[in-house]
This record gives sequence, C-alpha cells and structure tokens, in this order.
Amino acid sequence: MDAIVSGSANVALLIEGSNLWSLKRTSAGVERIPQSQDLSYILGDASDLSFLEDTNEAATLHELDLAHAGVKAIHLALMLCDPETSPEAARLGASELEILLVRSEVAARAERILDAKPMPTPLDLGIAVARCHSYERIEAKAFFARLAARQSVIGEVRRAWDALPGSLFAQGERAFVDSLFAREGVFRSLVHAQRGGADLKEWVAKHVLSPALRRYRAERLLPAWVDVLAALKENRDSKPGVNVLERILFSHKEEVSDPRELAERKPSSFLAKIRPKLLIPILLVLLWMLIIVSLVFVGLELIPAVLRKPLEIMLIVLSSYNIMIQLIRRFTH
Amino acid sequence: MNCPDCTYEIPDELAQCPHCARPAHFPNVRQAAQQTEIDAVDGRYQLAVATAAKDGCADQARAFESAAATSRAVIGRPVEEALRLAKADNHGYASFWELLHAGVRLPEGSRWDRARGLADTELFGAFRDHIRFAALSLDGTCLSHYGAVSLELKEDMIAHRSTVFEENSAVFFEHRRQRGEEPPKIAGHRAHWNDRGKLALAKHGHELTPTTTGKDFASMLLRSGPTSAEDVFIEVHIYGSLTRRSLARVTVDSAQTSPSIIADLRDRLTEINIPVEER
Repeated sequence: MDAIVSGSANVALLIEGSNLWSLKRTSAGVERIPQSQDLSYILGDASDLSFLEDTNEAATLHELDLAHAGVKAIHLALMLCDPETSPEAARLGASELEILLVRSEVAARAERILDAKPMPTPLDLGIAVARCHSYERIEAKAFFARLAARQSVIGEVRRAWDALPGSLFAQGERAFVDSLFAREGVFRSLVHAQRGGADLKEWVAKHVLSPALRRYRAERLLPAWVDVLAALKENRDSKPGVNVLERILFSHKEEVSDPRELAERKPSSFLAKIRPKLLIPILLVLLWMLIIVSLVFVGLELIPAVLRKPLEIMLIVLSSYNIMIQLIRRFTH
Repeated sequence: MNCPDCTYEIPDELAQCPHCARPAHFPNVRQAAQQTEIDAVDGRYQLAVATAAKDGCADQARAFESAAATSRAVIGRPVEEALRLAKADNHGYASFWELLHAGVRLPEGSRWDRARGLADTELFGAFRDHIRFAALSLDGTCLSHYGAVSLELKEDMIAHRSTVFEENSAVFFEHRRQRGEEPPKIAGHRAHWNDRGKLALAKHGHELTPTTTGKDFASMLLRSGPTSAEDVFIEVHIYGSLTRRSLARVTVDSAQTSPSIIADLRDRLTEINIPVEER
C-alpha cells in the first residue's frame, strides 16, 4: 500500500492497486472512506504532500498526526511571533503550542520549515520569547530561544542556497526543490551541521542517499550547496580581495548556461568582466566616437584642405561600421 | 471565440489572446455563454417548470428558483487553511507557507499512476489550475467533509468569473462514463453564475411537492452524504485567485477548532469587516 499525506488538509490518501481511500481523524475516531473522485476535492489547495511507499494504515495515520501537529505548531509559532496578535489569542496560542511541543517530533517538524528561512519582518522571535515567558510556557519559550540563536546560521544556509546558479535547475525546479528540502528537513539538518561544525562532506554523503531527495534527483544539488556555504564562510573569514565564492561558482561553470547570470553573481574587476567577444564592439564604439570628433573638426574647418578629401572618404567607409556594430550587438546580447 | 481587438481566434482554455496578449473573458464563463449551452439549460428548466405546474407545485418551483438565485458560494476548508487565507496579506507568513506548499510533483513510477491520473487532470491541468471550487449554499453552511470552516464568498468578487455545475464534476464524469456516455455531455448542466436559480430548479424540480416549504430549500440545494462522493450540491467554478478580501463571512465549527486559532481568525478578519461566527 502507498499513501499521500497532507498535514495542512489533515487528510491522507491510501492507494492500493486501483483503489483509493481517504483517511482522517475525526471526533468520532478514524474515518476511512473509499474515494473515487478528484484530489483537488480531497486535498483542497493543500500541496504539502508527502509520499509513503509500501506503508500501512497505522504508519500513515502516525505520519498524518505528526504532519498535522507540525502544521498547527507552525501556525501557532508564527502567531506568537506576530506583534499584531492580540494578547488573548497569544495567551491561548502559547498554551496550545506548549502542549504540542512536548512531543519532540512535533517540534522537529515545525523546525523543518522555520529553519529554512530567517524569520522575516515584522515577525519577531523576541516577542514570542517574551510572551511565552510571561505566560510561563517553558517548552515554547525554549523553542523560540533556540530558534533565535540559530537565525544567523539559518541566514547563511539560505544565502548559500540562493547563490546556487539558476542553470543547475530545470525550469520551475528551484521553488519545488526549495519546498521539498524544507519539508524533508534538509535545511534544518544543514543548519544543525553547520552550527555544530560538522564535516559537510560527510553531511552530503549521508543525505545523498535520502529516498525522498533521490525520487526527484534533488540530491545532486547538495555538493554544490555545501561548497557555496563553505565558500561564503571562507569569504567572510578571508582577506579582502580573495574571493572564494567566485572560484566555487566558476567550478560549476560548465553547468551555467546563461553567462549574464554568472556575470551578475561574480564580483570581479572591471577587466575580468570584459569578455573577448565584447572587445570588438567596444573598439568599434571607440572608432565611431573618433568619427564624430573628426566630423566636428571637418565642420569647423580646422583640418587643412589637402587632407579634407581623403578624410571625408575614410569617414564614409568607417560610418558603415555603424551597421556592423548593431549587428554585433545583436549577436552578443 | 475571436479576439475583439485583433480578431484572431482565442482557444477555449485561454484567458488571454495568444496573438495580441490582450485579456479575454474568463474561459469558464465563455464556455457557459455558448448558445448551445444556454439553450440546453433553458430546455431542462422549461421542462422542470412544466412538470412542477402539472404536479401542483408551481408556487414552490418559483420560490425555490428565487431562493437559489440568491444563494452564495461557500468553500469548506480545514481551519489551518482558513487561517492561512486570513493572513494572506502578511508577507511574513507567506514566506513560510510558500515553503510548505510550493509545488506538487508526484514521484515517478507506475505505483503512483492511480493518483497521477487524478492529479494530472485535476491538479495540474492548465485550465484547472485557475479554477477554485465552491458549493452553492442558502444558509452559509458547507459540506462537512471538507473542513471545519465555511468561507462564504462575496458575490461581487466572484459573479463575473464564476459558473455553476450540476454536481461534483468528478462524480458527474465518473457516473456518466460508467453509463457508457463517452464523452459525457456537459451542455445543460453548466450555467453562468447569474443563471444558478434556473440550473437549481432544473436539477431539483422533481423533488418539489405541494408540501415543500422555504425551510426545505437549503437542504435540497446542499447536504452532506455518508461519503463526499454522495454529497448533494451544485458546484461553483471560480476562475482565478481568492484572498481574504474575497470573503463575506466565515463560520467555524468550534468543536473541531482550537480556541487560539478561532480568536486569531476573528482578530484578523473582523479588522477588515468580515464577521466570524461559531457553530
């Protein structure tokens, strides 16, 4: 039996051969109903789907409970970080979150998402810590304090991810893999590894075996990601002028199909940015500027009459380069 | 239909002219506006009116049609989904929800073919991607299978881009195919939003009796069955996105919802004048 689980829709689908059932917990117990209709009805807009292979009803229900509790915990955590949440909602939310976080698995599920991005403004972890402190919610307070302590590393890991060249991804793949890594806890795991000073090569070796990543060939991105992460750290620690990130990005040069993207990502000297194919247009532009200046001089009759005729012929010939410039620009851009 | 500006043909499933890129009318509304579709609905409606008159319940038929013509589109959702919608203007929340929800791709392999067959047509189809589903309701309640929260939509936010359909479209197609109807005939079962009263009478006219009263209308139009496949309702197809600004009223089943989430939902929505009620 295989299963699809959505924590936010709080429903699972069991698939066995051509049969399909929905599975969910209700106030009356577990509801298992044969289904023959479309997923959009059963799952609504939810797309936080996890896929379980060779599973059974008990394991699916366990995953559903965990996924749903994780989604609830994320809601409550964000609610408590929001300065606009009313005191009454915050008090009730802190109490409910405290109960959920007693299960370490639930806390880990919420952290999978919350560790994937630094907490954006106007959300504020300090407010959440203060609220939990005032309501004496020890688990919740510790949860937010730990999350606050990880924010700088979460930011580093996210920056490294965002710095990966777009050419590594198929169209639309970046957002999908971003979400996949978040839901599967890959961001969280890398944040913990980086924070704990673990060997990132070992981290990669462990995670490339993950079936959830291999299913979408997403494990191929891990080496580049940790390379960029290490380079960012080295850049931060190195002397000014030594750009390790540049070197790392160029080591993936053969995978970069769009040179403009690389040029944007590659902080380097002016001369290094000038590519050979740009030299010809630049020279032609300089020549054109020379023509304009000469025309002005001819117009002002500052050139002796004996030189004027050959110069005029030369100017006409050179003017035709203007067309060439346009053509070359088309090719180079 | 042809583009009114560049005059070239716009394929049925597009909401934008592919030739000049000018916006076209919503494709679902265009489909329902075809004369064959209008005539087919009208034919069923006239038959229902005549049958009601013959059965001595012409007044009930008129009253039911009038009531259904004022019905609202309601969406049932789990409370977490409703809360996400209630906070949709807040970018802080959105950035995490994007991570939780971005993209769905079924794994490769034949074992997922059953789900893929459903998902590819229902979740990933180009036109279906833009359609949101709702049900017609007279009292703001929704079908219990889809969640603890009923989201009632503002008519002026959806009337121009909505069509109504006989029943759960997935069930409709499956039942028709089981009866050997291939492809299932749609004309007569789909109408513009403004013709929902007509479609409702065409569908439910045979259920009216001389003793039917206005109190019976709500459950005639929408009622939950033992399974979601047995739910009775008229499906609403809404083209395009919905936000909390599209909501008219929210009803929460307090037995299934945590107090903090109800409190937060109420705070978020009442500040933009959307009432939150508990049932």
